[in-house]
Amino acid sequence: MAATLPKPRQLQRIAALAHLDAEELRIEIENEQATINVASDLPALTLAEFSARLDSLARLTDRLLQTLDVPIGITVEQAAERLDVTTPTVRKWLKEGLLRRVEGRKPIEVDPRSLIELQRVLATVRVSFPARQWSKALSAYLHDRDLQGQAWFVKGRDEFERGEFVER
Amino acid sequence: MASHRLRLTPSADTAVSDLRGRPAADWSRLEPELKAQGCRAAGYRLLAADGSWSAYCCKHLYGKWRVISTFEPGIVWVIAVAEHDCAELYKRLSHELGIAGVGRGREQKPACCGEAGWPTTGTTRAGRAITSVPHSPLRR
Repeated sequence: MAATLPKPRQLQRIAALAHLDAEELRIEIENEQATINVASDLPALTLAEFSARLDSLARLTDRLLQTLDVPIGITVEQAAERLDVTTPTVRKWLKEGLLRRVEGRKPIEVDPRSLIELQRVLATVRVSFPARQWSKALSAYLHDRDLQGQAWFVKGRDEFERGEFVER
Repeated sequence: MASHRLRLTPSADTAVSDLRGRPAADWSRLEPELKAQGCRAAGYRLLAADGSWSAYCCKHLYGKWRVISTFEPGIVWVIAVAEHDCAELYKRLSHELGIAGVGRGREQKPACCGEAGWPTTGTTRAGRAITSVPHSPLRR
């Protein structure tokens, strides 16, 4: 089923709100950076103060995400550029399930969160295994993801989490 | 002499009871090893979804049979025993990424215990839930 998209006018309002929130987030971060820069002259932040500041940033981010909660993803080309791979590779990873697509969008669009998750894994893998080596680490990651997604694995893990066991 | 208690989840216990032939023989050898050696006998450490260490290890038995385990102090938990048919996975990877051809299996198998010994992800279930992994397993 095709996703319902906001009308152009609504999209403009959403973009304006998102821009506003992004500006606020940037100011908050700049303030935090300024605080860090003069930290040597100030008493250290308590854990509670630090936590409160993180909460503030988290609230802003949540608001930004709520504003942008429209069923629009990243194009395959954008995803390829972000991940530094080719567009055929992005399409293959979509088939693999390594990336998720936004339902109902044509041409295919990539779910932003799945892109970020994969980007993090690839960044780690690539740093550790330059050139072709990183693809082997990715293979291990894919294998383990597949293994830990098996129904029997999930069932056993759930039983473990509930503390159910047979002593041998 | 056993230095670890061995606990199986009910589904793992059922699976072990149903094993026949070579997988059963492999399990018969593995069981005392797990009790005696703990994580040192538990195969390789799996990766978590975010690329850090998983709390679980995988030991291969005959064929596609796998034993999944995790650990608490003095206790070996066997979470699951089942067949993992990853041929299809590797076939796809082989075609699409040009890596890990069919039958080659997982190439990197970091020790279950890890360089700093078990566990690197917390000693208890609760601990694992709140303890962040201090390093990336992929960073060597």
